[in-house]
Amino acid sequence: MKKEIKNIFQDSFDSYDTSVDTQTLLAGIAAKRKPERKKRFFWWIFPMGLLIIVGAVYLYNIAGDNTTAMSSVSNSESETLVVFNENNSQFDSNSGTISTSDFSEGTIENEIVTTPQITPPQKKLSHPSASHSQDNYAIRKPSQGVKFSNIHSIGRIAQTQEVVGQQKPAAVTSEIASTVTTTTTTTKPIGNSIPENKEPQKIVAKTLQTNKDKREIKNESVPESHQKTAVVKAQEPAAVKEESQVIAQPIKEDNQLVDSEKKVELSVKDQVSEADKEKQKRSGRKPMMLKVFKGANRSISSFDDSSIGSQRSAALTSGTGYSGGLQFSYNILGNLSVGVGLDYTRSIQLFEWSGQYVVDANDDYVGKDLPNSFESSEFLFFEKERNIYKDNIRSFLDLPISLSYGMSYGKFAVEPGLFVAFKLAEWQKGYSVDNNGIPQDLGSYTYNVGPRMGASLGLSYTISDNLKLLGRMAVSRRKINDGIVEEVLSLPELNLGMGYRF
Amino acid sequence: MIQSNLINRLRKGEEPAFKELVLATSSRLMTVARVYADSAEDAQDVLQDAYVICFEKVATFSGEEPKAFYAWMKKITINLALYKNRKKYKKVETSLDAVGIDRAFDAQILSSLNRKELMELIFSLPDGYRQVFALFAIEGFSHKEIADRLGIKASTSRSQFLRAKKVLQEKIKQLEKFDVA
Repeated sequence: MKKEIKNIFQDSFDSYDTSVDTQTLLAGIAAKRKPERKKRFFWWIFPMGLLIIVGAVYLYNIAGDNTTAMSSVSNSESETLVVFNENNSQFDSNSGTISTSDFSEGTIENEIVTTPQITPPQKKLSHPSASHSQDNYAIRKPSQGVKFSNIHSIGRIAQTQEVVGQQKPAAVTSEIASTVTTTTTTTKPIGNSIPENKEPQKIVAKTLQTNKDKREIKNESVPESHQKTAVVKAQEPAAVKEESQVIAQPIKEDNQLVDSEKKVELSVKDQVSEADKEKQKRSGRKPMMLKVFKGANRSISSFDDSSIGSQRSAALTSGTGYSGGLQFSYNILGNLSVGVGLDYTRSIQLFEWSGQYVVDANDDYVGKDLPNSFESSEFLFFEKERNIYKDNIRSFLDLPISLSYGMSYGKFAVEPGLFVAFKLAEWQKGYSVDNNGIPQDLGSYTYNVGPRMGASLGLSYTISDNLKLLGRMAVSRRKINDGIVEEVLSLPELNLGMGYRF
Repeated sequence: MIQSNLINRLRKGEEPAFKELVLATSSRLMTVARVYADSAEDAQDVLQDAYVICFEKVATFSGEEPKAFYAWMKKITINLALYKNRKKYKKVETSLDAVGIDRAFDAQILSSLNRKELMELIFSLPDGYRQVFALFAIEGFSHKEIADRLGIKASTSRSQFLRAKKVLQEKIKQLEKFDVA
């Protein structure tokens, strides 16, 4: 066909307007357009994360208060100081228990006074005749007969108190009161629980727990070796009546008071130590830990089965990258911990492409996406060879929130967990492939990066009380939609790090 | 036809820009669709689909030239129309006889026709003939490329084109007679 005739057809074709009912066309387009997918904005995750952090910090602080204020043990029940009459008791040396008929009758009532009337002793009270130990009992459990009317003791008073010979019950109780002097609270015994003339008594008092602690008092009246801290709460009078149970045990046998005192002190220390463990075990609250990781990752991209996906898959190879992050971990329940922090991930993948692109007759770049079939001198488009061999670099800054379960084996611990991370920022550099298999500058795309989901397995070795060597294997996936095809970026990671316990 | 800033506005997803694009290009693209689709209704459908694809994929178009953007849209329209009629071409292929007539068009006669008459002539070509004729005579594809695109043999493309020319010549003759009368 002659070129002149071709041009006639082309001119007619290119400049001919066919009448179109634009309203109908627009309506048809609107009907066919996919409803815009609602962007899933996980708005709730941030306040939720914040809530978890605040809650964890709050719980941690409470645990800290209890640790400081109470000598060591926390318990949901109350154990309190009780002195009772040995005359009515029988000691079973085998079982170490005391049975007493008067026990249930013994009652101590406390009353609040405006001014402390009793000066706390400045040193440990002792008495030469204290070797008589029939009266030395360790009262471990609250008795059903003990009633605190104004004071609800919390925390634990783990100390040894000795009452001098002819000391009257009031004096005995003033010993007790001395532990709460700074709270302007004193105690006074009532009833017949403590006889008037008794041999010196050695009392190990434990005041356990409370969930209503308010005040913290350090008992300075007791010698340093015996000094412990107690937390005492003054309750509202109406809420005062709380019965306690007491189980009494003897501390030691006769004629070895000094040794037994030491034993008692050691015993107290042991109790404190064990109580610490007990407390941690019961509360499940472990100290907050800051973990810092640094590691390497493998970037693996996968695409759907479309031709575009295949083209991109062929162009983009798996690569390596590196990652790092820090994480605050809080124990929330038992061995369950929640962590939050920052993750930086850099993925590097090689983009390799060979092909052609289109220029016009002046060798100016016309359009990347014109098909090869437009090659025609009459159209003034030409194809040129093009080779691209370049790294695709993507960087993400994420906010991970993790849930993990820790299992300890001596100094080693294993901590499997799950996490979800949300993008805070992202950078990309490199190429992608468009519908026609032509490379496009990655920076020109608008990326919508969804959450990164993953699982991890942490290993740790305790170096010291506060320091841990950490290892972590993690696998995560995130979806990337570049406007053409959806890509799933999988990132297996291997990290090493250190953890510091606060 | 297309303003240079329209492309950027489209990339940003501005709805008014899409409407402007439709108003600015629909009549030209409808011509394209009419040539490559097998009916006016089909052409309307093709055009709607082409715009939908343009809207969804505009982010992938990285050029800045309105000329290139229009070429991109035109390409989408042609591809869609041909894709929808692909099965039809294969049926046409079997029914065509080799056509030996290859008398050249008279350029003078063609020039005397106005655009509307010329396009009406093309529109009036039967399915199969019309597409091959447009791809060869207007888009400049070779018969091999047309054959690849339509899934037919190159020889079939050639014969369809010759058949289309013959039909056009006859129609032009009829127009000449009508004008003379």
